[in-house]
Amino acid sequence: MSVAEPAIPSVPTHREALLDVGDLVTRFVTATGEVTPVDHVSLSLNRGRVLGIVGESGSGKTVLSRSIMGLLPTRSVSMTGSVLFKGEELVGRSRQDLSRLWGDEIAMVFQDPMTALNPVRTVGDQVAEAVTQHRSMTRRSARASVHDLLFDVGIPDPKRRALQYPHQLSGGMRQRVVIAMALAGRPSLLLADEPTTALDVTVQSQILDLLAQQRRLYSTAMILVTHDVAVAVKECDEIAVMYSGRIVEQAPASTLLAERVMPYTDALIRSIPTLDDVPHSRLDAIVGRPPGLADAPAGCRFHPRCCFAQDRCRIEEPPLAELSADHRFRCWFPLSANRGMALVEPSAAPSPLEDGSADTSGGVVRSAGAEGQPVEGRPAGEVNR
Amino acid sequence: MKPLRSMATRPVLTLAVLWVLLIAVLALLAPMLGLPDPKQFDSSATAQGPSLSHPFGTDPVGRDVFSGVIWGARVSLTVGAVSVAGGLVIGGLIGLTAGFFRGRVETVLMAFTDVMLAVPALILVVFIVALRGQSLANVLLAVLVVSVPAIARVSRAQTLVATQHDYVTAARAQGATNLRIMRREVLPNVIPPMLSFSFVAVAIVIAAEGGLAFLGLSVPSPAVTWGGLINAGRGDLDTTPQVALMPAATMF
Amino acid sequence: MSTVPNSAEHVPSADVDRASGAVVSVRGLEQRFKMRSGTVHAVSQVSFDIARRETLGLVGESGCGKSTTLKAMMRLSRPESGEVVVNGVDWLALSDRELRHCRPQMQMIFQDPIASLNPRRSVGDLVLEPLAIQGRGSRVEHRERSEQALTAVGLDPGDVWHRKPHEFSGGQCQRISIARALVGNPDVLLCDEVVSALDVSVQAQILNLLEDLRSSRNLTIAFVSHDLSVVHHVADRIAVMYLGRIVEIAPSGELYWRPAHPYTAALLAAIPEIDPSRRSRKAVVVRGEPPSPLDPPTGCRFHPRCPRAVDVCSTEVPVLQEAADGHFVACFRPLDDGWQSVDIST
Repeated sequence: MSVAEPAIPSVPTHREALLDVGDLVTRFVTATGEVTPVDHVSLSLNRGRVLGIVGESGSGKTVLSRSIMGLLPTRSVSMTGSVLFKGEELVGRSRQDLSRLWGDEIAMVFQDPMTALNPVRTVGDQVAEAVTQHRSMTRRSARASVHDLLFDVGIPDPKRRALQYPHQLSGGMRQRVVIAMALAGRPSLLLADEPTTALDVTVQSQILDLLAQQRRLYSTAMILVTHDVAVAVKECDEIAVMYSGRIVEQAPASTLLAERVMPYTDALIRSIPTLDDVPHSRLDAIVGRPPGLADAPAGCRFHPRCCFAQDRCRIEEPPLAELSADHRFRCWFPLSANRGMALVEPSAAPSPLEDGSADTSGGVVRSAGAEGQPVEGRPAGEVNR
Repeated sequence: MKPLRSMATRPVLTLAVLWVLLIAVLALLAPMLGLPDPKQFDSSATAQGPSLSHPFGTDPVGRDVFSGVIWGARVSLTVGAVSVAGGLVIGGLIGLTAGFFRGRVETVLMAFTDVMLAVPALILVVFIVALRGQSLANVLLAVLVVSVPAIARVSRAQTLVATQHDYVTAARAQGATNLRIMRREVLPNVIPPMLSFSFVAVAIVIAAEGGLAFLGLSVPSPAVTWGGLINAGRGDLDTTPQVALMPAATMF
Repeated sequence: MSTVPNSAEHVPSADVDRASGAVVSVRGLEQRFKMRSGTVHAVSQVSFDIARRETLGLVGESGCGKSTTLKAMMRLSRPESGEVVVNGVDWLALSDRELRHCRPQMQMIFQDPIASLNPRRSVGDLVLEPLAIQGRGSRVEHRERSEQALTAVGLDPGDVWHRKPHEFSGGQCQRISIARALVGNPDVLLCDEVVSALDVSVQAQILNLLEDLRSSRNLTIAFVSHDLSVVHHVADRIAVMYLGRIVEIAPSGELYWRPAHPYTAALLAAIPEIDPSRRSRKAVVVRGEPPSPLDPPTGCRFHPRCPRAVDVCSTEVPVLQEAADGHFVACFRPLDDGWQSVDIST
């Protein structure tokens, strides 16, 4: 491959956002019909900033990150809306065209380092490929930069490690290699999809620290996809909470906890056990389970599980409203800051049924309101299908 | 609904299954189809190409090839089905036992099947038939002996996968005996893949029978088998290719 | 339990004293696995007691032997040595036939809710199976008890009875597993990472359910998880494991506020804290990752990663010793005032 003039200027010529996603919709066409894992999502990210996308399974967070990168198979997926990267539209461009950006401008770190690495090739070989993909260099200088890269991501004795195969490395080491590969092209945007979920907790913090340090060094922007609110709060500048394909609340990480107004965000945070809990105390569980892609409810997608839901929530979907310039949410009846804190006390109510879509219960789902007073219940079975 | 859907996604397999079913039905109905006797000489129509009255043509002595193929299917499919069924039971049990208990049991059983596998199948079959004489029963036995080790291997592999499941551990935690776990947790998950494998096995066995007949070691004449037909048609390939080609085409 | 010889590497004496009230008593449990490349010391000299209605949490990183400990207790593997005394009977000394009769007393729930249910059997059949195996009582009784168990875990027996596991979500499958474990009225429940595969919101439901069942059925629970926050939430006492050994065992609150083992402190520090105001004081960083249990380090198995390690740590095995009331730690240089004393510079 000849050294072509890069089509995208590496020096920013304008003060636009690095990434500007507008009204992005990703649809999958399956045998059973069409599903929309990403539904009218808009977000923007400036250079060197970190955006966290938090959500449970089926929230569309992973599909969103892959849509942005253009990694989804084109045959069964339709995308509308826009993804502006450095002012250039990515939606609708061919895979071949996009692959020029991959590695050089946008790189990805996957959840499972074992599947992201080829088991029959040495680690050094694979990193070298990432290094030489977008520029020509001699074997010798390629090898030298591989060793540098491996050293930079905290792999001791990189010369020896480069000759090893992925299975000879521990999980944390493998993820370091994957990060080295992702950073090899000095991308301006890094998409990290649950990069530490497969790792142990002490290794997780090491990898997160490594990502933060490397990112700062090259002022790489990052989208961190995670199910772990605590990780997002710690690592990100801004957090977008996703539920059933939509962003339901978006705020700076520093204020999201204190000023959360969307009941789902609130309930999600409350359902996490913390080290301050008294043993054997009850958690504030959310009733039901996240809706599947195919059975997203009408109205507000969260209403079947929301203990503040009213008639309006069942019919009309709330638009993304602004609380302040950088805090947006999607709710008809947002919690005021103090109301959200005081309303739901741990209760001794019977454990709520997981109604979800499997219609196991036609009964009434009860949630405890203030002072244990039950909030208006409703039949759970009628919610879906 | 489920099998229908899977058929739609695997057209080649579906075609193969339908083909086998068609031949099986035709073979079963052979006496009722009013076909000319495949052993009947017809001097008025020797070495003819395909025509309306003889869809696959006739051989040099005027026997109807289509009829021969259908009647031959009776023997060939019997050999295939019976020996594979037998192989499935014996080989399946060997594999199940080996895969479930592992350890020494597995070592012994698998060493045995490996030795069997190492002997070239055709030589083993020829040996058995030559030793015990040509008859349908002996051909069945020979093919069965050959199919057992291969089936045992597949069954062991399936069992190894099936015993890895957490629910097998869960059953053990509840105090289920080995026999119960094998019967209720493992076997139901081993049988379906084994059945689909056996379809392939039937085809292989029919081909093996064909090879045997080709060597003149299968069921003795005047019974008609596919292999026998091909064998008979071999000499006249240049003049009446349909005699050898039609049964061969049906086989594959 | 007073007859337990103290010759075992380390059996904390105070723990033995508690044993009189213990439903489960594990002593000197040893589980090794022979691999082609050597022997894995998966569980080494693990001893603990769990009192009636008590929940003991077992935490540690992957490969620390916490799940192996549960499997060895259930005799799903063949432990090399040790005792697992349940209601006064040593399970490791029983014949297969005797063990089958005792099994209903101690049941286990597994990590993967979907994989631990046979996909080809109906929910009713699955929950009924433990009763069918034991063979006591009539078919009608079995059905009645199975329906009660399903109701107890929040499922409608009439609705779910004939359905197959794949029709249910992970959380519901875990409920079915719990029903199956409880149908025989066990005294002891071993939970192996039972909420790890679930979404946060569903995880809270299952934890609440387990908590309800514990108090209503007087269950004694051993709860294994890699998530210290989850364990802290359900457990009265927590045992921290590292490479097959228990390095610290203490009441939950005590362990959190005053971790004595540097590894425990590191583990706690590594938990991402949702409240930023509480993050500052945790600055314990451990290097590297747990080494392979195939070739564990000599002496204290944590010493190569420990910021406080001294010479003796690499040569001698520290013994579990009582640091405070009910608080045992196996360390030559325990932290005496929680994590404040951890040397940050390393």
